[in-house]
Amino acid sequence: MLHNPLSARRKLLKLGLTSIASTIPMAALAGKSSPLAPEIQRILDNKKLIVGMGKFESPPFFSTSASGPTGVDVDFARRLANALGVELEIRREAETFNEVVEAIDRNEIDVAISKISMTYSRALRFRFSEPYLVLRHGLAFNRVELAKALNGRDLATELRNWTGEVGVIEKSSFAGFARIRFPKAKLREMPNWPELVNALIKGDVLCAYRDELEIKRLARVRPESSLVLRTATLTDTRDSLGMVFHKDASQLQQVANLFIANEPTPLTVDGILEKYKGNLKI
Amino acid sequence: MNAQKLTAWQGFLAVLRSPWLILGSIVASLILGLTRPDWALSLQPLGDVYLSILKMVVLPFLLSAIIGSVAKLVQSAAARPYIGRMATVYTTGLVLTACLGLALALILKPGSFTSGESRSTLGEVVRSSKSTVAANLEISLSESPDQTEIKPSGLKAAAKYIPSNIFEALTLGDTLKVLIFSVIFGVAAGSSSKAKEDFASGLDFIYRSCQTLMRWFTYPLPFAVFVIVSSEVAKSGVDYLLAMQSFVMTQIVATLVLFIAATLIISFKLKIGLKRVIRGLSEPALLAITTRSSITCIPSAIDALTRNLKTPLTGTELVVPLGVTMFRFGPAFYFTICTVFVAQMYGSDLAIVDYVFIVFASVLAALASTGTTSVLTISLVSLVCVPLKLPFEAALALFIAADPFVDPFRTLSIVYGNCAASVLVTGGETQADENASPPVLSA
Repeated sequence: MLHNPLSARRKLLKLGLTSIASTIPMAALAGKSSPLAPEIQRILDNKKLIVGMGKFESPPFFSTSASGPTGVDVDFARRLANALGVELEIRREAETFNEVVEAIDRNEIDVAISKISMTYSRALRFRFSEPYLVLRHGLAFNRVELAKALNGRDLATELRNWTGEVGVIEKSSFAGFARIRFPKAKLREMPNWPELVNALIKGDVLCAYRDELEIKRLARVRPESSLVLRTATLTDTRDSLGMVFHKDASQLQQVANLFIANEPTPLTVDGILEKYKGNLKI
Repeated sequence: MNAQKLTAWQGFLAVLRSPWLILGSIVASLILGLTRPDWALSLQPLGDVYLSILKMVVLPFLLSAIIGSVAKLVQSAAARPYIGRMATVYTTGLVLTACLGLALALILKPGSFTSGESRSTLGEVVRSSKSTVAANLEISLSESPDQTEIKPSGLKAAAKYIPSNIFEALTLGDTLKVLIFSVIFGVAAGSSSKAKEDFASGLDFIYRSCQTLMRWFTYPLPFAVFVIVSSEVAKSGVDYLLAMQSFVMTQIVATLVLFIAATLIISFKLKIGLKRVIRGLSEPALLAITTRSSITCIPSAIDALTRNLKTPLTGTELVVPLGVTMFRFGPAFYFTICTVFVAQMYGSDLAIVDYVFIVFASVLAALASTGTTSVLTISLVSLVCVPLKLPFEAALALFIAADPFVDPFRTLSIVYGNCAASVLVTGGETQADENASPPVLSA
């Protein structure tokens, strides 16, 4: 196609306009043109954005520090409220990830930003933003046991047909993933993550399976574990995290998407662990 | 007047060559590197320039020294006893150094940490390691395993040491290939009868010029030591050194034992005092610690042996380059200590059979380390650890991080150990005993 100088100029103009628009708080633009979507109107009327997060601690996404709530999700919420030109209220009442999402249906919160995985069952009832972070699955191996099990063979090759042990948290989503990813493996279900990690370090369990952030966080929180544990990331697995909205809140979803698209540097697991390295412990 | 000026200049040069000045500059560089790391780091380019200047002489030197000495040995038919003695001396030497490393590792227990703090420091080193072997691994489950990779057979491994193009080997600085070519070429040159004189004097000219260059270049050594050591100290963390101190100490003690044994052997064989041996070989020894490149020290080692200790020219010129390149005493004890370190760190029990295996596998790994430097040398520890089912990956990151402190001593062991080995191979002869036939190459 030939280069068209006119359309190029238009594009430039458009780009300039959007970048200006994204810096002006929405409140300043309200009421000047067509009526606003109800969910936006409600936020502007209340002069605050209500964001739901779990009551439990989930660093580095949301946790309580000396200076109040902190984490990736807290920062997102704060900046989203700024962009809308309203105050932020974080509601941390839900006991589980599912309960956080349920609060949207009861109109108790405007948006859930709470390390929520984008799953099909949630997609049937709610509206997701674009993913703001894509986590892959991770494994942590006990080095001594792994050296015995591999006996000089290549880990990647062996893992594709893994017949060894895989440790997971009982009834967690990863217990399900493990059955699909490693059908021949012997599943070892432990009641919670700390118990699984202790068994792993002692060598009672050969490996532990969870998302890469939790696996890498382990080495940050317990530096000595790097001597004993070897970590691996499964490159062809995806666990997308998104903000969750009411199924009718398409305008607010669009604002969030624009906000994610305008992020100067996309979030990465290693970047997050480095940025919040002071607040990784539960 | 002129004569006085000359003696003042000679006096200055003598001061420059004094080992005390070099020791002084090592101390000064440690102080600078620890107190003002930013200044020390800004000096690094100067150190790199000096190392390049030293390396510049190595290839023409090796080529002329080995071709010349092999040709002469073939002519005088004196090579045969050398081959037998080299086999005995190097096999025994490598096995003994590996045993030395094993014994020290068992006595000093470098791998048993008691403090949780040092375990955390070391864990942090492993986590932030850039080595993909040690740190997090990225694996794809869906990709089909790579079938094309076939393990290299022994023959294939040998083939990679044969230079198909000697000029390419020279261009790439592939020392081992240059050595092999030189030996073969030297045999041919010694067997042919035509035009030997021109060829020999041409080689001799190159060889002597290289030696002169080398002597010039060692004058600024005290400054070079200061610049290189201070920037190395500035680059490496002291916290980390503290956590790995027992490992580094074990390596240093092994070097020390080898140094004393080598000095005793040379003194006994050449029937000269210990002090004269140490003083005579101080230049290659200090050069080894500073440059951490054993190949770079070959010209200096030959010069020191033949000039200061009066070992026979032809034999020394042949044995030292071959020994330093192929029979590396430093890596032999390095690998045994590393393996025992890994076993101790993970609390794995080793049986007597395992210890025997460690000694022999370490000797083989040391032979395989020919032509490798630093990180590549260290990664050969896998040759010993994998058959024992010891997890070496995390320790590899620790060894790499500790190497700025260990490499100088490993290099010293290679160079100094080979000085002693060359004295043994040449049978403790001195230049006075050397063959009556006029030497092709005289320094």
